[in-house]
Amino acid sequence: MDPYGNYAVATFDVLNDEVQIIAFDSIILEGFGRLPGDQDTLIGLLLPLPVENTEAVFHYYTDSSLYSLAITYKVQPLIYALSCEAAIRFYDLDTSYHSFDSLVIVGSEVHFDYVPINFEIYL
Amino acid sequence: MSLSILKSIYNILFLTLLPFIGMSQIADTVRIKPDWNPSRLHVGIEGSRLIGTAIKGYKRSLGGMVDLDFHRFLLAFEGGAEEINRLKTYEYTNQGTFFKWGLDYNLIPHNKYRNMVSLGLRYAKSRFSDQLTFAEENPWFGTQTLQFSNKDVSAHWTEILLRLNVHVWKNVLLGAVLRIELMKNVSAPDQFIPFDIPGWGRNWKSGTDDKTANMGFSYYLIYNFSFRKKEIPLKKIK
Repeated sequence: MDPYGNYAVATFDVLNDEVQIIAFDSIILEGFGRLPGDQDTLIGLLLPLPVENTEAVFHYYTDSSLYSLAITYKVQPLIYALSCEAAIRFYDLDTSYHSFDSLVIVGSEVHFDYVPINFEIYL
Repeated sequence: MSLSILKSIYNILFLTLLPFIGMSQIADTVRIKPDWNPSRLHVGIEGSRLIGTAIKGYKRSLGGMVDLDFHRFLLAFEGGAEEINRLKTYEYTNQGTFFKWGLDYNLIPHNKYRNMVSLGLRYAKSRFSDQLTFAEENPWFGTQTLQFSNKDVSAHWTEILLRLNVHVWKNVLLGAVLRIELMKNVSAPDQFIPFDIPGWGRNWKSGTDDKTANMGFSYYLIYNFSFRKKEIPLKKIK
């Protein structure tokens, strides 16, 4: 019933080389540590958003480089409907900093029903 | 010669205008001065809130009304307190007070039993605090207990009322009110958007859909304190 998740979704594309595989050694969320499952070959990535903050900073490590992404967002606790669970709505997603080649915000709200992807990241 | 002609003209004019002069005299009415001095005070307790408190486990509320008559108008004041505790997979508590004041216009002032059907307008104001507590399961951060609260939130709105008062026994009346609540405005809450507003009802429809209009029905047990005799105005005969 609750359509809100607690993570943003980013997809990766490699510019000029569609067959290249993206693999990070580790992904660190500042204030939390290393994210589980971070060594998989990545096409998409879930970005957990802490409720108590309004900014989440991620660092992506590879053998040769470091990428960073700082996301800002707003938090709205709400009772979606009387019979549903209470939920947190993350909205107004934006980036305050990133070191990727380019990044496009395609959905500024975390919402399962109509915003499957929030960021498209190009390397 | 000229005098007799003038007399004739005068007679013709008099006879011609006589029926109209007569008509204007018949149409004259005695204007009765409206009695603006108050004659009675109604004090009522809201039965719907008492019954709601008895049957709804999550809600306790109390409400009352007072009105004073001025000619065909009534100066009305309503007030109450509400406490809500919704306990589901979350816990939502809300407590506050509300006040409403405005005017009613009596549509049947000639009723010999002093029953009343009136149209009214109210300005309503509510002040409350609320709190939301729930557990959020998160694969990264584990299960977190989250708590959010708002202090001293205020809301105001306008109501249009259709009211019916019926004398049931001596000075006791039963009152029923159908109200349409409009133009709600809520002050910026501290941490989250309130789910309920005392005196208004649910603030949300569902999701993030704000409830911009509301409809309510309430009934009152009213006591009539009459402090002077007031004539029931006569009905106009057409």
